[in-house]
Amino acid sequence: MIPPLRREVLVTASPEHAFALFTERIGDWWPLARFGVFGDGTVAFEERLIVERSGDRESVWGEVTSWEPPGALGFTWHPGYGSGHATDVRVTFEAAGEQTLVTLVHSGWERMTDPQAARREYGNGWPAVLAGFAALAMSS
Amino acid sequence: MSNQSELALDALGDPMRRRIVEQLHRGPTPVGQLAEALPIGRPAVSKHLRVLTNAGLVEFSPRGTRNLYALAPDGQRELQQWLISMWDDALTSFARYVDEEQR
Repeated sequence: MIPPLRREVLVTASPEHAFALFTERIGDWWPLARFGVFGDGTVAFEERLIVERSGDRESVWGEVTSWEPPGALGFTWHPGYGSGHATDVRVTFEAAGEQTLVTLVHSGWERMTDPQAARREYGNGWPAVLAGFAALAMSS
Repeated sequence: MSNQSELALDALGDPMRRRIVEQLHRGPTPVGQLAEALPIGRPAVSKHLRVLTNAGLVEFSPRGTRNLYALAPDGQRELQQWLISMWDDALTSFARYVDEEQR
């Protein structure tokens, strides 16, 4: 079983501004070429969903589960496989002097009990990798 | 990304190999039994097992007269590392974007 992953970064902005950029401008900063389902699309928070689009194709990466600006944001995370087996991501924005400490915790691997049923193939690459990761993370 | 994690990710890019990994979650299994559970023949299963073994995800464990395949204990570590590198890349890219915004 995989323990929650925790990553941090300091950004030069207030928590309010960092929260706004993280959500409203995800399409400008997310490394889509490396971590995208289509590779040549766009990604955005649309209402409560995080959606990647390329032409008329779309891939829902997750759904917002908590929206607490400027301090915290939670969403499910399932790019490339079904929402019934999503993992959880929580991002917090904490003032640190002139900067903001952004902490991301990715958890909920225990929900991946049946990746075979959960998986929807979107082609190879990143989503397949996550599905493979889910297969590995699954408890016996 | 290290060579080994690239191999692991390439190996898991194949749906049939993911099914083999899922089967192995139940415990060490002989090739014949894997072939019975999957819609492919024994030679094809052996080929997939070779790829998974090279990638460090699966190991071969002879037990008496039976040849069993099992998940490698450290197999997950590389992939965990990959996931960490994904979030690190994304967060670094975010921090850079915020910096450019402020200028």
